[in-house]
Amino acid sequence: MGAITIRNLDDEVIASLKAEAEQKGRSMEEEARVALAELYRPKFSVEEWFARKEEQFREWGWSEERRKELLASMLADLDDYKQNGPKPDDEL
Amino acid sequence: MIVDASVLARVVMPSQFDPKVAAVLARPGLRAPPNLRIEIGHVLTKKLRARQISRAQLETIWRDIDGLPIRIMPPPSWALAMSLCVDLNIVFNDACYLAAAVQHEDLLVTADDRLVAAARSRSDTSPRVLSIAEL
Repeated sequence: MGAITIRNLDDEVIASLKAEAEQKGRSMEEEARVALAELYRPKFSVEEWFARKEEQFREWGWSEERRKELLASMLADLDDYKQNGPKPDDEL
Repeated sequence: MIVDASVLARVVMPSQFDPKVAAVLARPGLRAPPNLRIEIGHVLTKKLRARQISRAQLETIWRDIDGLPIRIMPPPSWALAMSLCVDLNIVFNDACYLAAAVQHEDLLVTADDRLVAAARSRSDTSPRVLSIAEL
């Protein structure tokens, strides 16, 4: 585990960090640690992504045909949403 | 490089090895305006309500998106987005992606052929758009 020191932070940023930390019952350091981890934590590589999807879809019993159907359906819904916005039957 | 929801949908639901998806994920510095997550959230919850995916599957797919190398940008210039929306006759969601690309002198990758055609109708937006098919 490493440590860094950040200089020249605006007072407004520090005040906002303090307020956010207090609201969540955390120290400022913990709040900053969580925020930085959220932004910069390791991401999937291309290989890891495909391997992960393969494993998930196999566990879920999704064939290649099922994936293609779902993707086509998602793209159609996306286009409908962009053109027409959400519909009443989309609500919970 | 900026990606839109038509590209992200192909990333979250890839074929066994989709070379176009791999080409996108391999690019450094992928980013998108906030409406990316709103659009994908909408289509995924629609699949849940249609009982095409389970709650657990939805949550897994949604969580995995956080692990993708795509950073969410601040919203684009609303004035620029509205101007592009009206002038190019495109939907506002698409205008937000294009505005982000113009504003940050970046390249928008999309699978939406209508958006590509509209953006290529003007000299200032034409170099800011690329079809995923061209990758």
